[in-house]
Amino acid sequence: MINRTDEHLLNGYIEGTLNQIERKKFENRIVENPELKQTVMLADTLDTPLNDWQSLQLRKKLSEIHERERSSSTGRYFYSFTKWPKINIAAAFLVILIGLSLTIFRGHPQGEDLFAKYYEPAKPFLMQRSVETTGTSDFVTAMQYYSNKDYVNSARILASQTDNMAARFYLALSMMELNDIPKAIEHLKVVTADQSNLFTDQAGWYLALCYIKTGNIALAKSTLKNISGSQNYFNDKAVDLLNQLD
Amino acid sequence: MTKFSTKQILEGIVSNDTRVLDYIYSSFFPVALSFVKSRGGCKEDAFDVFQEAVVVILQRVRKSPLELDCLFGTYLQSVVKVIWVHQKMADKRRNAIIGSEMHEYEDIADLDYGFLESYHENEKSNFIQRHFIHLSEGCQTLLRLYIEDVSVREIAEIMGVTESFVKKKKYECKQKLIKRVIADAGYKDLFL
Repeated sequence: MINRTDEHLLNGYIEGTLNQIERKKFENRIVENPELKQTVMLADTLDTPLNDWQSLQLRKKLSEIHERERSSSTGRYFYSFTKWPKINIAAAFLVILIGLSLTIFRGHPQGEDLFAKYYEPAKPFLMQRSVETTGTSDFVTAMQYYSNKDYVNSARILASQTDNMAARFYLALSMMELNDIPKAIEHLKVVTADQSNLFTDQAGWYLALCYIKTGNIALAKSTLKNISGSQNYFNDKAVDLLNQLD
Repeated sequence: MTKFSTKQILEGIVSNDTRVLDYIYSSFFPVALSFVKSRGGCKEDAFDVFQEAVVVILQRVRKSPLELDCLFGTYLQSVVKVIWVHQKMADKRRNAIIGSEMHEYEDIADLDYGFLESYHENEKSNFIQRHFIHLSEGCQTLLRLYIEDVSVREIAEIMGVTESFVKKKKYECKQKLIKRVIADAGYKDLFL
């Protein structure tokens, strides 16, 4: 059992803030308390596994794939066509009929609808510390605003840092959130043109979405074709979206 | 789905390429699942072993170049079997059950000593990692920043909270991780 005093000492031990007397007291408690000893042993070994970020990222990605697969098989179960086949065939026929009539009378789905379906705001820049931007405290502040969905303030700060591609990318995304799509396109074009930064792939994807939103389907298609023919993270989504635009 | 060569697969594991990992999962997880199920395990057991096998291959490849005489799927399946056997042995030791089924796996370990070495070297580390990825995103981010030697002040700034909150949260997150690890049945075998 680890009591409150032990917890307090353990916290100090982990933080490295114990004075000599407290440290002596804590060492005695470790001898008396096997559970505390175990905890201290583990606390001392945590840094090594957590430093192997490459393995951790691999685990996370595999888990995501597994989760996705698991939820889609659940979905498949619920939408199974094995029960009441006649009703399902009739329903499927009806859906195809409605789909066909929509295609004939409306052309491809409306840009706004597709935009809403595919658009997800990019996650704020927090973890990639090796990138050139992390030392800039204004950028950090802007990211806080961005995280808090305060896009007016994130855009205000980022607008003064457009030499930095990360800042320009998040400025474009802030503009998208503020529904200023022409401005977003302007910045995203600059980010995608500069092939040496980490945000090129993401910028391409958001640029295609901006084109869709403004109804510029030809440009959207050509941007998506570039993405679908590369090793881009958004490759699968691009193919999917292209199919819907065709 | 695009097919990948063994070389592309190994490179994709190292670079954490989503398309390659999707391919590995969809092509080879069903084989691992059927193996584990036939030995009395469930889908989640199969995924744990499968994930462990892919991570062990990453750690093996990082050490030195890996030349395979067989297809990647065959190799992965062997690693899956070895890890499963290893875990079963640990289970049996814990439960003091003497079973005869272990004999059928005895020849597998001859396949590649390289990955066995990586597996044993990283066993404790991998054990902790398996629990780390189940912490909340907030805890993972906080501990990650802390491990990267980012100052408490800077972490507080990034997360938009006070420094004392960061300190308290960091302790809580570490404790959560430690509790998860200790509660795992495999902890005693590995650490004590």
